[in-house]
Amino acid sequence: MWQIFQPEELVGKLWHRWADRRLRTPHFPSEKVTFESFQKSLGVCFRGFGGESGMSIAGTAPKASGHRRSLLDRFGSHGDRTSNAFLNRQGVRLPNAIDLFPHR
Amino acid sequence: MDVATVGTTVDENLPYYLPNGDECVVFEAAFRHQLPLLLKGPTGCGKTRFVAHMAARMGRPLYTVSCHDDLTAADLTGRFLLKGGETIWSDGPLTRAVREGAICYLDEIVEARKDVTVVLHPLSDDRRVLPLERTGEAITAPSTFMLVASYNPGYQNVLKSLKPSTRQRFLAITFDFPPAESEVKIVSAESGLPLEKCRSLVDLGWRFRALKNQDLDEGASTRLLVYCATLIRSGIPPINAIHSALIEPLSDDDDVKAGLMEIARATIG
Repeated sequence: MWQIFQPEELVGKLWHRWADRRLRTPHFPSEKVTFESFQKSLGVCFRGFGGESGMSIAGTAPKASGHRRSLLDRFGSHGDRTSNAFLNRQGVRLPNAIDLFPHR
Repeated sequence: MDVATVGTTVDENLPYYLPNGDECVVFEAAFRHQLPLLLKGPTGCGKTRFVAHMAARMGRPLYTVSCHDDLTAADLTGRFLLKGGETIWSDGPLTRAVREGAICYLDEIVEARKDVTVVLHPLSDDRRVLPLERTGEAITAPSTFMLVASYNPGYQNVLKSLKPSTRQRFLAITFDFPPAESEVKIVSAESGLPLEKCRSLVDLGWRFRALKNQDLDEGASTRLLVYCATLIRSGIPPINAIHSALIEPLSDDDDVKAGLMEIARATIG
């Protein structure tokens, strides 16, 4: 009720809720697949497909992605945090977990 | 029969073997000059088939002994047996081979007990004599007798290895899996599966071999590829055949098997 007397707060909150709903990537925690549960099989696959045997395979935590964003996205949120897969001299890095798909 | 009169026959009735180098020439020269031969190589790469092929080519009977932890010199040379209240001498496979001038093949020789080398030493140098301690005989090997032994260097450890004094009595040939294109022909000839289908199977076999010493103790042998192709030829879906003939025999680890299955799905489709 007190928000009626603070219209900036109210508008900000409504805007955030609307923008968040529009921009939010759906997640499915119950269908989450963790890197840890597949680490050994992934290593076998990597080497079986020709990957170097000495390379380490590890998980990566989410980081600010820094990708180009839409105007609405720039107004509506602080930006995404994503776990990106990459390969460098040290080895292969894969997301610690993926829960973006409705089914495993 | 003298070694000089033994002919080399190469016909279609011989056990199938596709040479990958000069191994047939070396074997024949060893046979002609009465020299023992040692074959080294991983399991299922064709050592036993090679010996069967060459024995048939030389026209000599073949005695194959699969050596194991409990194999003693007496198992090779023979023993006294009780028969109808009488004690009679029964020749072992090595003694029979020596008497008949045959080829005796000792598979995985390092598995045998140490006393086996006692009977092999006088037989594998220029004396070519098999002493039978229990009967007091010393059988001189005829010129057509040949001793062939094999082992897998990948299984060796400090406790199980051939002594230099034994190794240096043998000529030696190292075997490995045949080059991919030769292996395709071998798998196709053995299983009857068309060459094109064998090609992707051999490709998969080489991918599995790349995992040796890290994810797998041994890579997929040519023998397993032949088993797999035989199952596919009999109508079993390729992925099921691969699971039974390649993946299950290679590992007991569920995670490793899951990884191998993914490689198989991507390679075979």
